[in-house]
Amino acid sequence: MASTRWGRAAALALRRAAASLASVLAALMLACFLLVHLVPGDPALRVAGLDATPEDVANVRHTLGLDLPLSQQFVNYVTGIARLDFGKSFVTREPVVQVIADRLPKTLELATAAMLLVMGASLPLGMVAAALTHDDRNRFFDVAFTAATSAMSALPNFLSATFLAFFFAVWLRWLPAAGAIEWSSVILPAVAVGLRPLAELARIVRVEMLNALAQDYVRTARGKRVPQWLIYLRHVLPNVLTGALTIGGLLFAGLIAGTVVVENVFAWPGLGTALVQGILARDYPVVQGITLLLGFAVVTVNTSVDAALTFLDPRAVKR
Amino acid sequence: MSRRRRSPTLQTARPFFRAASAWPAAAVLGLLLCLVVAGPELWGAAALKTSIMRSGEGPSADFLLGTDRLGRDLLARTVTASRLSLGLALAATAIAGVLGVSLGITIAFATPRLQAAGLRLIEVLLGFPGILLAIFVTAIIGPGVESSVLAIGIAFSPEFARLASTLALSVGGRDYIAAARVLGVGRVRLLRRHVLPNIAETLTIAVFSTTGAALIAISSLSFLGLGVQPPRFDWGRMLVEGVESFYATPIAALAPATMIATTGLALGFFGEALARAMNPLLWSSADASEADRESGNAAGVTTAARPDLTLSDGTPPLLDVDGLTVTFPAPRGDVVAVDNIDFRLAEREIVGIVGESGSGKTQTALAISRLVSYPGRVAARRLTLAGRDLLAADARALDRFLGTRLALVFQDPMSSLNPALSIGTQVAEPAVVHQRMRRDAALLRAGERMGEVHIPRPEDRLAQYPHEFSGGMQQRAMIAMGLMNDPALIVADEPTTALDVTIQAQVIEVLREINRRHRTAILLISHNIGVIAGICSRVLVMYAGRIVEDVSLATLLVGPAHPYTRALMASVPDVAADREQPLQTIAGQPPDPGRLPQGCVFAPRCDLVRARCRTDAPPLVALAPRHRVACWVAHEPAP
Repeated sequence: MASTRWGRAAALALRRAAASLASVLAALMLACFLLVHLVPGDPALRVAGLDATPEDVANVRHTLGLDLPLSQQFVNYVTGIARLDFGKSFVTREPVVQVIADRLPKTLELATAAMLLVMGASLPLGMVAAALTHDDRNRFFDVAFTAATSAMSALPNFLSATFLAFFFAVWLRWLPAAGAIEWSSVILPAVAVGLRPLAELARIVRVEMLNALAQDYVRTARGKRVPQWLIYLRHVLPNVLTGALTIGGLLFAGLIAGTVVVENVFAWPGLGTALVQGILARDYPVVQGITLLLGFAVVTVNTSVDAALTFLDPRAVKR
Repeated sequence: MSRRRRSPTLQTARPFFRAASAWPAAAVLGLLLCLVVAGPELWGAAALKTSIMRSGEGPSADFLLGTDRLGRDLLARTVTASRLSLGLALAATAIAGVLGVSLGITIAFATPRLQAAGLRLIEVLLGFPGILLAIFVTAIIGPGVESSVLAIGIAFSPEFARLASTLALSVGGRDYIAAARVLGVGRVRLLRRHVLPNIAETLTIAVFSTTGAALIAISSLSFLGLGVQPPRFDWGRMLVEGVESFYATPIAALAPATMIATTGLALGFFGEALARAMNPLLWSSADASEADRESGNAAGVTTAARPDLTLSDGTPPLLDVDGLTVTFPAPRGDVVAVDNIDFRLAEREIVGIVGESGSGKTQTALAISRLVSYPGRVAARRLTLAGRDLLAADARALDRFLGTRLALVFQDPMSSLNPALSIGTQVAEPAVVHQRMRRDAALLRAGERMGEVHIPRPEDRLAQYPHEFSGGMQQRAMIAMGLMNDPALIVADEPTTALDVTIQAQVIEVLREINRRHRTAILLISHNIGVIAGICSRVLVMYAGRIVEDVSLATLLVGPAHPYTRALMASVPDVAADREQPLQTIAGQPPDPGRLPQGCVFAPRCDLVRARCRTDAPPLVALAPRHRVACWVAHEPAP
């Protein structure tokens, strides 16, 4: 009986999430479409080259469909996306979908490694820190933990990447500094991407856990003489997890941005390096395609986090 | 307006500099300000002077940080770059602030429908990482200094927009804005005179943290080659050049990297300290931590032996409390929450503890259940339950004993039940933990116990969560949870206070039934004499951490001996009370537990006070059989 009520509320939340996702994605597509039209200068001129005759330029304009009315171009753009046709690179003439297909697995590899690191390390770190410092115990450890994590979360990706490369690749020579040749190549970029979200999430987990430990229901559990480890795992963790996963999901969007920057430090052959090269070479179709994909990833992750919360928090159903 | 706004600023200055991070952050920012102002004038020429002969040198007396590939002085370049780096960051922040605040305030003043759409837009944009937005914007307007500043300004504006709209909406809802609107104050004037001044403080804090983030974002763009282009240089650009010669002269990359990291951290910490200073609530825990803390075990315990005592009828007491003291260390001497109390409870007895808030009732309950939280300390000459020493060191055996023999019911059932676990899991847990019962068997018993406390259709409700229960049902579930292991004693701390009056009576009735059926003794703590009188046979009256009277219910109702108990009883309205007479109240305030008066704690408020009361504390001694009073006057022979 309770489960059907829960199921109805969950379905409603999912429908709402899907509707919001659709509208944001439509806006995202419009923005990416306009990207090419907001750029100063004539894209057709760029494709045709500097020594092209006006006829050549007009030809290129026609083949690219740039002479059509704007609304028609947008329709063509959207139907193109539906057929996975993102146009061709201005520079290499390669289909953009091919560029993405080549690069995406590497970016996913990096993002997954970083996310595993963040989730795997920050939960235990934050929980142990909270267990050690609640009720104002271990003041020294408290200060050290806060200082270390705030320094780590204030350090931008490209700096930690630089420091990591210097220390582990140049100085200690333990790990490769660039490229993606060996399996171990992913370690340094993943740490560089993950360090900041890791520190932030560990701090949040600690604060959430300290809040939970101060709740009456923990006193109830202590009153029942539930063993300490069971208090942490059964009574506190579920209440911490909701908040931690929300923030973790939101940090994932930052993690996508982190890969863009860090890939460029380590010459990692993913979407981020392609995006920056595309911007520098004014290769708009590539920029447009990758932008759409990254934006899609960010929006999808954020919406899924919202939806996931409904399933995790029994109280959310009531609202 | 200006006069009113000065005082909060003064108030915030002190807490601000009490933050450990505030001083170094302010020092670093001051030093940077000097570099920004004077750096390019003093070192600008040296920063540009190339000398091929001395390229890529390490640190030396001539060049403290060495030189770059073109033989330019790295220290001079690092110092000179501070103006451009910070200038760009400030410019981007200014753009973000102006764009964001205008957008936010526009949204706050818009029609409801537009407002909802605008807030949703901000929310979506905030979900995008700033640097990613900035990269997208540079993709449109092309790489370069101006475009990267604009890009970051645009990318960071949603933050300000959210802040401004939230603040403006909350300010807009206040009475004085409504009053101003009624008076016909125009929108622009309303904005300038009433809204902006009220959100200025919060926006100032945001400016610091955003400048730090903008510095890092612009450096990132420069680092990716999308920002500052040569021959101009900021720290990000220097970092690119430094990374190219990383193997030979790592300091060329490390110097600008350190500057970016330090400045970013300093701005962040400064903003954080400012935010803390503006919100005094954030300070309470840090204040407490300044107090010197005595080291030692959590709720450490000291004991001393005392010969066994039996109750007057010869049976050993179920609960025997002698010399129980609970103290909390505080900066100005320990706070004594419970002061050397003793009492006994027989099996099946229902005893109430009554007293005002702060009288030590709850700490007594927590001390008996060994739940006084760190850094509180419990000491007692004797503390036993069913003959077992509760101050024993063997924590594991004690946990099993208390987990099966003692049940607890707390004041607020909603917060005492775990919102994330089903009722069944929580009610069944004591049996699973202490009796190693299988989960399904424990759930079966949980259903039975819930039926016993009159929760309808208990088997259906096992899978429900606390929020699906009403307050009364939650408290019944708490009681059922306590019954899982057949306890000898239930300690109920204000079990009905959070409930409706009609529900209160039902919960008390449930406790009475349990007392009859399971022969469970109950220690009921309440500030409400009516609740106590409804169920208890004996009452302990507590005042300022001490028991002032230990009296049977019958005597309490007809002739209590202690002046405090009398005053307490006179303050209870009853049907027979003359409605023409005002209800009596007790003059004065309960004493500060950190500064208890010498002598009798009630003396300052007592009508019958004698000279002796102010010097000697009266002991709790028998006035009659089963009646103990701590009062010099009560023990005086009748005139």
